[in-house]
Amino acid sequence: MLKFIGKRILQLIPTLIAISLLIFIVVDFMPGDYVQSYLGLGSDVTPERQQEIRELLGLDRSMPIRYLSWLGRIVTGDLGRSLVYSDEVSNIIFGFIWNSFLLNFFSLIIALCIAIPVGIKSAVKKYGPFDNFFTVFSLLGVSMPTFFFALLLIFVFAARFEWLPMSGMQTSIMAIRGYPSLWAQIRDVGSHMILPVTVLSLSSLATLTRYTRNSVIEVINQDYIRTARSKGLKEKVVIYKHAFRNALLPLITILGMWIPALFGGAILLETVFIWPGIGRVLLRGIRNQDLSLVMATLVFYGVLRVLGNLLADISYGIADPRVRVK
Amino acid sequence: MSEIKNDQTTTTTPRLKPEGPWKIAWNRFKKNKVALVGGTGFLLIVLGVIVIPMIFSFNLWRTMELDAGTAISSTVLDSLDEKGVEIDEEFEETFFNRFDEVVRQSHFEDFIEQNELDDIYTQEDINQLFAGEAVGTGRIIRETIFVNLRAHGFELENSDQPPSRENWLGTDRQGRDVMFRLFYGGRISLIVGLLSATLTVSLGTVVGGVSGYYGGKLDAFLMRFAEIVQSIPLLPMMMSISAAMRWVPSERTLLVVVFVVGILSWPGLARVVRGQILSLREQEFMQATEILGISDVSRIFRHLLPNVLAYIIVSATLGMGGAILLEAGLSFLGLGVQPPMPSWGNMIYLANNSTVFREYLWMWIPPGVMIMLTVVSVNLLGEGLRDALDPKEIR
Repeated sequence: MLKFIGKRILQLIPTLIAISLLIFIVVDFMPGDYVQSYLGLGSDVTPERQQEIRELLGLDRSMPIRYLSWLGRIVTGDLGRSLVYSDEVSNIIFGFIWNSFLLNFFSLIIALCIAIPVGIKSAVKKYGPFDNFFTVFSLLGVSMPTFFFALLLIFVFAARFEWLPMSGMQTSIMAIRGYPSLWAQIRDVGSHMILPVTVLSLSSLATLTRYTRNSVIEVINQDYIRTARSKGLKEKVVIYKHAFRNALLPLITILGMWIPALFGGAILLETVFIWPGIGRVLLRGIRNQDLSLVMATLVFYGVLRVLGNLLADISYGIADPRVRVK
Repeated sequence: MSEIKNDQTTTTTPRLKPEGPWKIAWNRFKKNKVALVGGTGFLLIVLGVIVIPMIFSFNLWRTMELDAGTAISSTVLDSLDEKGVEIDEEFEETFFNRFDEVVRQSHFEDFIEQNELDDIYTQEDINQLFAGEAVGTGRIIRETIFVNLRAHGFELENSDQPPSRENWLGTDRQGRDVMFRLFYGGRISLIVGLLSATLTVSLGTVVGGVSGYYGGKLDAFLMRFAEIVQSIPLLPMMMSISAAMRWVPSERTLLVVVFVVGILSWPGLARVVRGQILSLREQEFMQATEILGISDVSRIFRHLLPNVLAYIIVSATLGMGGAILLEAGLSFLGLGVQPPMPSWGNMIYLANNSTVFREYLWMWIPPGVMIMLTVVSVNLLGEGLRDALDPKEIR
């Protein structure tokens, strides 16, 4: 097992290098002059002096050299300074990451809690009314642009009826004055979370239900399920003990890939809900040509994705011994 | 000639012609109600975006090439010059800087709302602009701008109108008919979807085909590469690449979106095609082509690929739905198709403005609904095609 994990981790290295190279090249092509945007538009620093700064920062060297030095800094944890937030990039990323995690974690939990039972029930009564309803539901869910759905919900629940807050993560006055109690803070953040979590979990629900359903269907048609049934086991035991366990395997893989995708997709929702998450940091960085911020955020997303894949592989290896041998 | 043919058909006993795979697929497709609904819906939308913009007047067509801001910024200075406003280099620079800031970008809404240039250009600004020659110039600028806009097909006094008999879906912030933009923007969104799906499918098929057919080191390398591309975070990378390609003029930004979507989404199909080809390669008919000495290209494209065509078609259809959603998302973030070129995504972008979001629903709800209808019908079509073309169920 350890050998398997070690091998998978070693395989990650070229992938990570390739991704970091791609990130570097893309960001290098972004418009914007680091020195110029650092000094601010219309500063009266002479071009000669700017050139000196550029040389001092090593910005005049060739791309491969700059890439290597950047990679070296990233690996040692030095992500550089952000211009728009005027703070260390690592501080910013760790400051915002938890807000994103909060959103994604709850959405995923809710989506899974609904998707698994629904998927199993759809699979057991294939093409029944329940299954058909959820087939249509997932089709709509997959086809709906999440940000548009979010806008509609905000319009109805926040703008028209004012039941829920429109955007943000906290009521700003309360946040500034300080919450009277932890409970008040949880309630405030919670009420801000209802809409984004609803949209995000509905959007994952559509896909996750489908995956669970299909993988359960596949398992139900296997011989050992017939054997279990013919032994006279209760249908519940057959489904939940024999079928579902095995149907879980493909689901684990999906989850490994789903978590990073969830984070990526949440960028749109964070924009709509003005949720102070990592996606908004990226967008703000892109808009303000804050290159070190953009690079670091992209590296974060890349690492998340690669780790997700690794997690999927490893847990798959634990669950299914056959994978390890291969 | 035809007589002989007729003769033959009458003399020979009627023979049951075996149905070809396409015929079978078509028959199955016809019986599949879901696919038919999807196909019809999609066809209607395509027809709509082709025909409906043609009904509208030529004036609106001209507004597609220009933003109200761009329309005036270059011409307004000339007109000011004619009106006798003294324009020196410094004025020009200040004018363009402020103009860009105030008019061309998001503040344009405020500009129209107030309809008073003097409000944006405070008296002080105007004083600065005209170096003391303040009286009446604000009005001159305003009038010049309006006259120029009209010459370019914009009717600012008609902006923000709710749906009416003349404008079924109302007008937008720059006084243009929303229905026209909706269907014209539909062209853009559909073209983006179609081209992205084409690019994805071509890349996926070629890589998967080559990889599966040649195997060995090339296969290992290509699949490793596919794996790497697959581990790139999709949306963040698309945003960054499209930001890095800002130099592309606005009427070509749709190609940027196509490029970004296409180069990042091919690995899925490549893997499927490779897997299929790996198993097909070992079958007898491929041994036959080898013995017959048929060239590699012909073996891949004429003998192997038709066998995986079903997968390719289905993945192209579903990929198109995905690409339309991605375009919408990118444009909504302001990183996709750039205005003045309308697309469904960048029409919803207007909802970022709180007045539009709360009051002018006709500007942002129709494009969202259109995206949904399109993607639903494309997905229905794809699912239907998958069932109809599934080779396992044909026999």
